[in-house]
Amino acid sequence: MSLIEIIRKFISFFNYFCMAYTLSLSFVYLIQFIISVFKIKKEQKVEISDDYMRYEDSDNLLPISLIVPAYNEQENIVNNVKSLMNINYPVFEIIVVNDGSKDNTHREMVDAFRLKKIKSSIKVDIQTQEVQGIYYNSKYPNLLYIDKLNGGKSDALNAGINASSYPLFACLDADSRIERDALLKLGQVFLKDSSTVVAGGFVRIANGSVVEDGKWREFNIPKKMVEKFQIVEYFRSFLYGRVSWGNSLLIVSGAFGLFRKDIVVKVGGYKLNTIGEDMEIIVKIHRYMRRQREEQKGSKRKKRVKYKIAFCHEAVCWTQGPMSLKDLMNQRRRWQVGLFDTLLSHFSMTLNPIYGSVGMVSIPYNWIYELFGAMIEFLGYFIIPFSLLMGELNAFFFIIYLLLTVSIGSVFSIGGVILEQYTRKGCMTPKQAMTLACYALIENFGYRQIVVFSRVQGILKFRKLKNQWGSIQRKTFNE
Amino acid sequence: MNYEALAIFMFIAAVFVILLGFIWLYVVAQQQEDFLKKEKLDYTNAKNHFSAILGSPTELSRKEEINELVKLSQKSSTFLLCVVTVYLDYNRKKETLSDSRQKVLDEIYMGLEPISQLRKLLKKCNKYEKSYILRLLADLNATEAVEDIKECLNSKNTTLQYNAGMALSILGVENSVIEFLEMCEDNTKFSHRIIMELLNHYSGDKSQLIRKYFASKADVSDYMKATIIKAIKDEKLESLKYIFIDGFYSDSHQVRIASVKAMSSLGTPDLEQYLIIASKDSDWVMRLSSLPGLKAICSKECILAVKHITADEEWWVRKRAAQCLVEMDPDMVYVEEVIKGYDRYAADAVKECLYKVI
Repeated sequence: MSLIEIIRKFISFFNYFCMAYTLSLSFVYLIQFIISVFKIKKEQKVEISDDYMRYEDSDNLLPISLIVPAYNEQENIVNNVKSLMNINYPVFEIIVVNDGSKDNTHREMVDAFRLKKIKSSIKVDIQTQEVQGIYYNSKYPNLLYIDKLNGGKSDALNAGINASSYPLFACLDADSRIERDALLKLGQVFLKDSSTVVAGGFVRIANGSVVEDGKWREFNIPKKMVEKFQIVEYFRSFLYGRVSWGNSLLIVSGAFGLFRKDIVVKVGGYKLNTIGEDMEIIVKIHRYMRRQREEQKGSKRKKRVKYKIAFCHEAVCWTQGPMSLKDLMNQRRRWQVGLFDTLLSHFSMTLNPIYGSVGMVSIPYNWIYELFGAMIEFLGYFIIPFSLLMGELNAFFFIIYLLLTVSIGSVFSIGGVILEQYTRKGCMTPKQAMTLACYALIENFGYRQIVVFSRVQGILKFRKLKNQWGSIQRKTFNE
Repeated sequence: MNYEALAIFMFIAAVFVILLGFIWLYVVAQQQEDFLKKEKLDYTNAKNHFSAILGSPTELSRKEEINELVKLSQKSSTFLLCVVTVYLDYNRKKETLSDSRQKVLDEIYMGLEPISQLRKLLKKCNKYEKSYILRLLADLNATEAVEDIKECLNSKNTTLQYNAGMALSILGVENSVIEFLEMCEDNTKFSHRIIMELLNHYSGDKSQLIRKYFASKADVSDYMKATIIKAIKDEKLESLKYIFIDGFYSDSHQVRIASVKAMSSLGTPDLEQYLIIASKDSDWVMRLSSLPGLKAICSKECILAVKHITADEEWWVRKRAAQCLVEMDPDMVYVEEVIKGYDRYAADAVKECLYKVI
């Protein structure tokens, strides 16, 4: 068999493979879309009778420690802490962990809140870099500031967990804002179901929108194309990807998640030297809880270990998305590296029936569609046109394939905007919704390819990028 | 295969599906906008009507306004719900209103007959709307609607069932709340915190309710015992002391913790020995739970027990004990002893507490 023939065979095989891959991915998306529509519609009905404000003063809501790791966050940190102080929740404390910032984060915090160094002991449940000082001001009794040596975001979160007093903790990003009632909504999940171990909130892109005193005031479509595309993308990924997975959810955004502290301590806290710590911790919790369940199967105890990892789309956190292509690519590379790292670390869970739906469905899905999907799509952009040139592919078949992928992609993106319209009533005017739907169409031409390229880079440069966070230029909030 | 035909078909299908997506989105966005506008309008209208009635210059004009309000609320259920919400808002701040306005508010209530209107609506709407109406009925203190609410308690839908239970609890219907608690014994539909929430809202005599519940069943499960004791732990119900003491000797870990917490909250001198025993328990949660009670009793034995716990092996217990000791010992005699003592960890805990206080 000559080389040309081998290439032809490969191309032919690849074309069929791509076709099958696209169809299967579309099928998965379709199922996710259907599940999400049903779930969101049901939750909306329940919402009619479920007034979370009734729990506003409830003693039964578990107290929460809000952990804010900060590294070079001099611009945002003070405003963020002030905004956190106004959140609506009966009992909470704010723990800001300065992870050895090189800028003025430390000074900004100490000056703004007139903090004094106190002599305090912290129970070290999880080993972290050395804590250099604990600061406190009795005027702000629920604020604790920890200054420690640099050890990365995970290390800062672990230090925050060590210092926290309450049974639940929320990890928050210093450059994000949570809505005033968001904790009340997340806390309600724990109140209603005692088996809840993690509850994640919906992270929305704040670019263009006006967020005042932790309340969303106005939705505006941002000016830059790259920001508009991200809005469509976030709708799709949160309202499909998170809502539909139910208890097999593999990721709770690092910007806003509420955790049961005892479970996180039992799994050893956040993994150090990883940039996908938000996904890693969830997979670790799944692993631990399913192992517990498995161990109990053999014992005589009647009750099975039940646990729930929930996603609450009503609890909203606003974040500023990257404003330039360079920053966006950096972010997506990082996400891909984090995904790869987590999947590799927990490789033994893949297709392992002990881990139930997580091992048999969620993790394989992430390997096939989230990780290698980018690779397959990237290769497709070259091999399919090449096979068209070589005459291996019928031109009309190519058109069919192209239309199929573009239309399916667009329909699912428009679906994300539709779901957003359902979840946040009247958030967008019909005109804004139609504009975003147009961007859902256009994103297939250029934006999608750039994101795919960044993801492929993330896989190829995995070893090099594994421990690099990089920095992203972000706007301050429209307040 | 005829690829040309298929390609054309696919093109048309793709355009059609995308178009469909656009239409769906537009319809949803438009519907939501209209709905929100109507909701806002209804609410503003209801508020305006109330202001007009409360500020009407003559009795005749007031009656006309009330009749108009009643007519409108009979026509539209969404308007009725807005009117009831506005009425409840006014009713909550009734005491701040002048006597004449309070009378007008009563007149509105008489004319509107919100309870009978809501009861009628209850028969027509879906289970989720029903749940909402049940809450409104409870807020209206609708004792005459108890039978309607009880019917919903037997629903298969947990949302409706819970809201019915909550409404009955707010209305203080003892037997129905007992029935609800019995339902919770053998199912896992509701979390223990949601049961506690329900008990916290009970408007009747809680100690009687609990005594009756414990008496009605020979074998209350440990889960329910712990949940109920936890729910009332801060209510300081002396008449239930015997349940707490009984719970103190229970085999169930959770019941014991709940009982110590309840005793601690009571903090009466006759419970001193139980709390001192709890402060020496092998379980740190027990030791921690005994602290508020010891602080409340504040006898010399209690201070010594708390001083002993400042050297606890658990960081959190040490910290809380130190806090209690500082508050129990204004002369700082024992505090100083701990600071100068051999246990560095206990001294650190007390020092930290002093730093925060000073």
